Amino acid sequence: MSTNDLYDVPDGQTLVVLGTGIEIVRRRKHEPIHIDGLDQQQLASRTGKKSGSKFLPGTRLDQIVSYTEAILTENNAALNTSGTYTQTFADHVGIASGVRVRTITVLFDGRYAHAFPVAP
Amino acid sequence: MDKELTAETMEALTAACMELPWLDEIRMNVDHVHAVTIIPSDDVSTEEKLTLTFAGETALPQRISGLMQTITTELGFEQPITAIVHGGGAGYTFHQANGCSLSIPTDDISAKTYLRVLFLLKEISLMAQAQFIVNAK
Repeated sequence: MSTNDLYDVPDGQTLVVLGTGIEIVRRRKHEPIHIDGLDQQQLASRTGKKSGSKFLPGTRLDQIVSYTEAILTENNAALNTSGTYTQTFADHVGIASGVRVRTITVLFDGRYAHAFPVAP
Repeated sequence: MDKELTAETMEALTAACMELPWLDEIRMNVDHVHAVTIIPSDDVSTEEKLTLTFAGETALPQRISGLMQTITTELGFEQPITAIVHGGGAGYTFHQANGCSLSIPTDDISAKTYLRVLFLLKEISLMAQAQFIVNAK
């Protein structure tokens, strides 16, 4: 599937099936938003728990897939064995509750996985 | 959900629905609940999400399946729901077994149905959060 085709996948549906059989799903609520013009309170609200933390503006869907796959691979995630995996990067990757963060969590329920930025 | 929705009950329901926990995601495996992810209330967990998975038959997934069936009926689906995904705020997408999906809110359903579904999703999130609290003890 090409990078552009990934954007045709409905929210919650499978973006990529890994060789392990694990399916990386799309979660639009964590995708980048326009933050220009938002004050700190608005930014905190739009990247809080109820709206969902966001990957940094400019982060493409294929990059989110790559982050997810890398973290699953790093943790030897296997089909039918659920887990929550966290990895911290050198640079900022997203915004959570209005704060720029370097950490990504991958939630894996044993079949489906998705990633989102979190405060460390 | 037996009482008629009035302006007052709608206001109360809306207020209750605004508080965490919220449902983040449900995944079905055929007709069984495979996993439930919630956005927990801050007094239960500061984590953005918590996931419960179900390997065997227990009471909770059966109760959740019952509520999912009610949601299926409320939304007029002819096919069972395979997944529910939170889109942020009060928005959710429902995926059906035939590949069709519906995102709410939408003009295709009434405000009354929308609120009923939100309330049912809220009930699922509360049940899942209670299970987390039990599991943590």
